[in-house]
Amino acid sequence: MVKITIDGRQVDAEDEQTILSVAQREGIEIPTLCKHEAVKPLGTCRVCMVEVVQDGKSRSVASCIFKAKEGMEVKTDSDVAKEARINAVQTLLERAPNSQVVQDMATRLGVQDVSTTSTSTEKCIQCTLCVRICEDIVGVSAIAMVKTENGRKVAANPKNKTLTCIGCGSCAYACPTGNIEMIDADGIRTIKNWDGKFEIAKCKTCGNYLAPQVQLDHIKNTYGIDVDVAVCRSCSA
Amino acid sequence: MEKYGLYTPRVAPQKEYFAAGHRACVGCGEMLAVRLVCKALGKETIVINSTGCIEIVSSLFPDTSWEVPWMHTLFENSAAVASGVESAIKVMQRKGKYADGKVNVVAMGGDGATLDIGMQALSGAMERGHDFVYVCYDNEAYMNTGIQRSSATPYGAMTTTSPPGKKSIGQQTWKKDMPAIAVAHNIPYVATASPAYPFDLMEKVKKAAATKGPAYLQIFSPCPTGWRSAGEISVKLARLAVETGAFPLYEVENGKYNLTMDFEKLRPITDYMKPQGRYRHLTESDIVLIEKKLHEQVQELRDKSSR
Repeated sequence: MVKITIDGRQVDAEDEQTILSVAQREGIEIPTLCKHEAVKPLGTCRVCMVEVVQDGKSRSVASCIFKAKEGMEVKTDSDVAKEARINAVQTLLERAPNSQVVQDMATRLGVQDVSTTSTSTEKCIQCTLCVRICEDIVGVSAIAMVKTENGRKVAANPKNKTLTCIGCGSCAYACPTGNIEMIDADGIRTIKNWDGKFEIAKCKTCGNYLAPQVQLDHIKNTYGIDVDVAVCRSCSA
Repeated sequence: MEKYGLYTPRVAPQKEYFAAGHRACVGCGEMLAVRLVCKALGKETIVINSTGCIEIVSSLFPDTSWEVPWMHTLFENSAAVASGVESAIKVMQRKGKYADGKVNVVAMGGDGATLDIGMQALSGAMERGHDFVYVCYDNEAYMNTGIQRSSATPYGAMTTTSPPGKKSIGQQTWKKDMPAIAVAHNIPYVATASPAYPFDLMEKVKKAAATKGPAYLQIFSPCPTGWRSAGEISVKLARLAVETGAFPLYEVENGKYNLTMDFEKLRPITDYMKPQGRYRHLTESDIVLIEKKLHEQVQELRDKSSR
């Protein structure tokens, strides 16, 4: 256990606990975009920046990855912290100038004018949540950040010979800006970003749609669960 | 982070704004709905709660489950009190006596408090255009006082004041279409939701809270005690209700209908009715009649959605 001060309050923190999790426990709100409960934080979006004073020196750090140390003084709402967050969100605005999510975050952080002359429809803020989830949780590493002439974009992982995406949608659900377009229609799931098309398996009993067949196959191959008798939850006992 | 043995593509936020330890019945579908609504609303919320199951079980003195400011009103006037709260916040912010920023003003009530005794107050609040959300938890009867019928009780259902017998089929009237009444007030957002589709429910709550003006949500809430069903299948019943057409999910944004999910073929209504004792007395011809009417209602929603 270490003792730190956060916004004037002296609190206890576990060894190696991040400033963000201490703040959340104390009811102090720090904005986030690339944070997801299921994966380790990476500090890619930087909107969680706070000011840390240690040994008389002040600097701004990403609270989601910066660990609490004895005697640290954290200021989540000082001018240094606010400026760091505004700088961070302006980088995101450069990447996705017309994204409503990013614009709302910028306004929330105090940016006065979020209007832009750019006509870009880009939504990706390069936080890499999708890539991390696909690699760590799903385990198929189907996607990766790929360099293009317009900056880095999420695309099918060039290291794979064929598309290993199983159409589970974890990336789409996790993406903070809705960049991954996943549409279910007429029994086919389409993920536009890497042109994935997946046939959706039906419940053997009632015929309602379950999940993409390749996703069920992946579950069977990886975890040994028999998916051939797959029925939906309403048809199961 | 622990590695999941078998993952789920989508997870709900873990932060709870409604504490455990309340006195709801085992398997209460309404309580699940309340927890999900609170998760979707977040910290900057004031809840105004009519008398009913949730109000009672969440606030037995000296404890409370609510982690946001909460008011208990009379049975019939949560919409009126919510109007007052919303107006007071506006005035106080103007005078600099209240912190800036959006506060979700959310009135909550059961189907009795909303469709019956509270309809006047709700109608007034919607007509005046207050910026608030009204959430109706629909367990299809006055459950807190011992299962009496309401205008939300479905045709043919047994309650203590609509008992089936030689001369009675149970509830003699069809379920009042409260979402349609809300739409008729020209409010910007109306929706129905079910706790069996938690992400859809939370999205709709967020949408309702973000809408400027009145928003009305009706959330299907299985009640094992009143419906005479097993506590462990409440979520399953909440799903079957949607799949059979007993409680279709849809949104109406500025008068435009949108069926949230449709099925190539609706499930037979018996799948939904069989596990519930309140329908036990129905004959085959009763069920055929009910199913026909429900299918007509779903078709009407499909037609309205495609227009």
